[in-house]
Amino acid sequence: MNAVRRAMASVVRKPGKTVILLIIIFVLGNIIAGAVSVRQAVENAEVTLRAKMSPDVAIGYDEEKIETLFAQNPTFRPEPLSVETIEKIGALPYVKSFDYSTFLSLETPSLQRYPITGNQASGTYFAFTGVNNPEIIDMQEGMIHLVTGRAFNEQEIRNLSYVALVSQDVANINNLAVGSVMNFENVMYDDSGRRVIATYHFEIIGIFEPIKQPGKADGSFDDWENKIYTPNRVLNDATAFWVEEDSKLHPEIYSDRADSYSYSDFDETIYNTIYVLNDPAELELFKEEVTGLVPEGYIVKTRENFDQVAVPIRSLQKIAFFILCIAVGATVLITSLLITLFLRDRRREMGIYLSLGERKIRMAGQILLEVIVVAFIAITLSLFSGNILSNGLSEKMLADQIVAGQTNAADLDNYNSGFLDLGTRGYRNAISHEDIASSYVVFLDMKTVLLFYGVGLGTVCLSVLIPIFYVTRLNPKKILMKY
Amino acid sequence: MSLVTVSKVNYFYPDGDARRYILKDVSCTFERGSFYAILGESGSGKTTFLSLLGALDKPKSGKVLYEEQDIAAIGFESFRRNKIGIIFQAYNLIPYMTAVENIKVAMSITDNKLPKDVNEVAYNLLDYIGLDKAKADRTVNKLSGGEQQRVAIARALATNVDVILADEPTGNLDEDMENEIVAILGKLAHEHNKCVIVVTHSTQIAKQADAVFKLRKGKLEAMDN
Ligand SMILES: Nc1ncnc2c1ncn2[C@@H]1O[C@H](COP(=O)(O)OP(=O)(O)OP(=O)(O)O)[C@@H](O)[C@H]1O
Ligand SMILES: [Mg+2]
Repeated sequence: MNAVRRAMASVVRKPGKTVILLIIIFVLGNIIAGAVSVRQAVENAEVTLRAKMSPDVAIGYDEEKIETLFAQNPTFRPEPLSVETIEKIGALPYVKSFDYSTFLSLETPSLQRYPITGNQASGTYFAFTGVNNPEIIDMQEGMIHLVTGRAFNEQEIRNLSYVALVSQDVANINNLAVGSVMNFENVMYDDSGRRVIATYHFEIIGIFEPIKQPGKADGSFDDWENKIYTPNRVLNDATAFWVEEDSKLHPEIYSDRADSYSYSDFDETIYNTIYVLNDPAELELFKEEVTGLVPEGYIVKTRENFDQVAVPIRSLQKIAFFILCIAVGATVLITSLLITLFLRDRRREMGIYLSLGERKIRMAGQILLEVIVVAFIAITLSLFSGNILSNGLSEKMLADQIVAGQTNAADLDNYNSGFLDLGTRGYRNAISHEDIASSYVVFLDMKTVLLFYGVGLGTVCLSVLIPIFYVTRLNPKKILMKY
Repeated sequence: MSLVTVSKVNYFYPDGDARRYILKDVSCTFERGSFYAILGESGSGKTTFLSLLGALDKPKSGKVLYEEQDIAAIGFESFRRNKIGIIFQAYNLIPYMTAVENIKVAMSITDNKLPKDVNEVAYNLLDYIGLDKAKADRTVNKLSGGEQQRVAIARALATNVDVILADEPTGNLDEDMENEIVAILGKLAHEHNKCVIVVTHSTQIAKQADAVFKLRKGKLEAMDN
């Protein structure tokens, strides 16, 4: 009858006490199990949501920062983001591909816009999207696909080549094909009215078709159909030419400049950047590196602000952690008292072991084992019931959190539009509240199970400390020599 | 060389701010193969004295030696585990275990070398002391007082120690049972060469003992037998 067998005998032969202990630990275990599985589900949801985040980010103005800097110094203007900086960021290991675009609308005397949402069937201008990455990042990222022809080549990007890609729809209504030439006009409006300052002839080298993004309604405002891709240089050249003409016309506007604008060295293009990350989960690392590279007033902008997206699940996590702490505390307190009480009943038995010269460590081991055996069974039972409980309960709680977070929803939308202001590169699959709810799944994975057994058994071990201390303080003489 | 030596032992219980001395400079020796009885009136300090011999308490001054070695140096816990067996008036068995399991508890605790087949040894011991297999397998709270005290004696023997201490072992038993238990204790001393020390106020036991001491006013006096 060594300590192990004694422990077993005690558990089996005193079923009353064993059952009481079992029930207490089972009940408390349910709360712990619930809290642990909520915690784990939240963690899983974070991973799921992070993976759902768009991998494409942009470098944009940090409006808040700029505002404070401006308040301190009214002449503050953020330096334009140089091509060199843009390229440096693009060379970071987290970046799969990147591009930077300038935008310009040019008028056309002959072409029809593709009518979306049935508003204006006609129009005389088209928005051009500048391209520096010849492969066209929208094509790489599955926003558009090539129907016929080809994308750009390096030569065209570098030299001033009037080549373009148009959508299938625009091609259809205007009878355009690869090889067709489109005429666009650089127009200036002044006192004398509309004046064409330059005419450009674009050769169509490819025809694309937008790819419907899941979950996005038809006719989104992004107007993919009327997009025309052309190299940045072409648009920069047109812009610079327009600015030069304008400065001749209105020198007073440009008078605060030290040197007058010259068409040839115009270098103040503001680019919209787009970086596609290898892994959205590396966003924080990417952000950190970018901070060191960009001038003051810029930050990395994502389509979704993860911290805001995660508000409902994070508050759930906080609640779960709070419950866990309370449950662990209550378990330690209640089981400590219960076991001590049981041991008081067994003072004589403990005194006998002491009088027989049993080592205190083995006695402690016996008590621990007795409790652990019962706790293990109770915890195993509560693992399943607690999981079921927390599943129902926490989904309700999460729903409440999402409702409570409606103000955040507004923020979320603002954030998205803030990003979109930077460019017209379309709306991606932003994370919705349905995504948050559906990413939150309570299930028993290995990690949860291990965590729960760890927390549960750890708590029980803590609960045994006071009883063990009590036993080692027993005086066998007082117990055994009184009758 | 004496087996157990008590050397100038003092013991007192605090009584308010004062000390109430129970043992004053007590010295004596105990040998193997002898059966000792220590008599004394109720409250004279018999149990206190035995608890010092049994390393359940330590003297305020003076020493208890085992084979010339201070038991404090041996270590009280280890001394109890390996050198002595104690029999109490209240038996002190583990109630939810069988007789044989109670004995095996002691056997699992000692460091002394024991025969391999623990089960057989335990049953044989109980049989020797007068409990058959059926009773050996009964939980002890279903045994009579005399039977329980036999289990307690068997437990004290099972660990192969040289010193058996007993505090009023027959206090709860009738005269016949008392005689049987005393006979067993005598046999342990004389046939098994144990040092048996019994504290009691039973003169019946004292008659069977090889040497008798009387505890009075803190002194231990040898008595003629
Ligand atoms: N823990 C204690 N604190 C204070 N006094 C005690 C304590 N234990 C015993 N005493 C006192 O010490 C004296 C000796 O007690 P002890 O139990 O040794 O006597 P005893 O000879 O065994 O008596 P009995 O024959 O009744 O068992 C008694 O007067 C008792 O009241
Ligand atoms: Mg006594």
